[in-house]
Order: sequence, then C-alpha cells, then structure tokens
Amino acid sequence: MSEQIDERLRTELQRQGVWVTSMQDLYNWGRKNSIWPLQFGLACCAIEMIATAASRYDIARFGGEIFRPSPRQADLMIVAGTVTKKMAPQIVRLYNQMADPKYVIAMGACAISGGPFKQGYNVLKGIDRYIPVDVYIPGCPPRPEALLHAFMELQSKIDSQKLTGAHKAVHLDPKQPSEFPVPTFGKHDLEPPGNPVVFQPPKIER
Amino acid sequence: MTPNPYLFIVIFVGVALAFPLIPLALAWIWRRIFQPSKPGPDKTSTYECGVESIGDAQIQFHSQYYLYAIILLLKRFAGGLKRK
Repeated sequence: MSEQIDERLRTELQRQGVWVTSMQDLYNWGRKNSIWPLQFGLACCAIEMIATAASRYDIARFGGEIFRPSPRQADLMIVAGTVTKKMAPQIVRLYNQMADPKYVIAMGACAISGGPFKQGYNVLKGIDRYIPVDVYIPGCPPRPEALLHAFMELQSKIDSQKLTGAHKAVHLDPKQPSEFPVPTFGKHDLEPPGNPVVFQPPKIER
Repeated sequence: MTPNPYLFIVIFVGVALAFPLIPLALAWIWRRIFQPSKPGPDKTSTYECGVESIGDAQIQFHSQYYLYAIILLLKRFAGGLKRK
C-alpha cells in the first residue's frame, strides 16, 4: 500500500506540516522498532549477544533490548552458537511455539553451517535445515557490531514487507506454514536430515 | 448547577473499560482483516521450554509416601523446636 502514496505529494505535504502514512508503514514501523528476541544462547556467540545487549553496544537503541524468556512473547530467535543434534529438536520446537510474525537470525559460523565442527558427528550443519533463517551473520564469533548490523538488516526487511497483495509477508499468508516438523533422533542422524521445504541447497554440477 | 459528585466515578469506570477494550477490539479487527490465525500442536502446547512433556500432570503418589512425608515433617518441626 505504500506505493499508492505519491512520494512527491507526501514530501510536499510534509513541508506544509501535514504527515500522511499508510496502514502498512505504520504497522511495519511499530514492528521493526520493537523486536523482542528470545533469550537463549547456545555457545560462545551468546557471550557476544550478551555484550550487544549490555551498555557498551546497547541494542536498546534499536528497540531490541527486551529479551523474553518465553517463546510466546518473542518475535526474533537469535540462534547464537553451535546447534548440536541433541539440541536441534528443541530449537525447532521453540521456533514453532513462537507467535507470528517471527524471524530468525543465524549468528556465527556454527549456526550457519556447523562451522569448525562441520565434520563432527554431533553438530547440526546449519539451523537453516529445519527453520527459515532471515539474516545470516558470518564470524566466529561475530562481533557485537555484526549482530547490530544483522538487526538493522532485519529491520529493513520488516520495513519492506507488504501487508496485502501477492507478495505479502509470510505470516499474513494463510497458505504458508507457521510450524515446521520437529526432527527426531534416528539411528545415526536426525530424521529427516533436513526439511526440503525450507532447505534447498544449490546443486553443484561436476 | 453543580454536577453530581459521583459523576467522576462514572467517568473513571468508562475510561477503565475503554482502555483495555479498545486494544482488544483493534487486535480482533486486525486478525479478522489481515492476520490469519495459524494454530498447531506445538504452538498451542502447554509447556514452552522446548522439551516435549512426558506423561500426565495429574499423577498420584503412592500412599506409603505419606508416612515418609509425616516423618520428614516431624523431624523438621522437632528440630526447629529443639534449636529454640
């Protein structure tokens, strides 16, 4: 709906002291400035996340300081650290229990791909195998500035989400799922090893 | 003519009702127009710690534990008295 307002008309009105907005802009403005993260950390990236929340880096400047201990109240899941295969079902279940709209930041090499433990037998090779990730932060661990940058990227993503139309946001589409299947412990690996709806890695032609 | 001195209570009740009801009504309208509700087995589950709950919450302890509970209570209580 934001494109229905003529930008030139809007600036002209603003010059005269009249502020106009659309429902979509108001909705996204409110959402992007009050992202409440889910409070949990998995490994050393969590220490960087704690530093980001503390006074020196101060994520409160972006409205994200309210870390909620309950998934029912959280908007954002920061997967901060190594996801072991033992922990993966719990992460997916917590994601499922979050209320829509919900977003995921994969923080650090481990959450993206398994990182230095990729060849290990007990580490999940990226949380994006089971849940959709919005922003990836590389680094081992990423500095607090990197997390703040990811937060700002997420804010710009939320700001660009459409309220109506064919390209509306995922949480507003009744056909898009809100829950994803929780993997179970198999004989050798998690079953299934990835959710094909979410995880579509590029095929390398050799 | 002075207004009824109890009029402000009526106004207060009106404000007290409007404050919670307006956001609730807005949320309801928003859900009807834009946001489809997507319930599911995980989303509506009682516990929110990430671990699946096992068994029933309404379990019964065996009655022979009652004796242990009484002994523990007596010991604690008597010990507390002795110290005084």
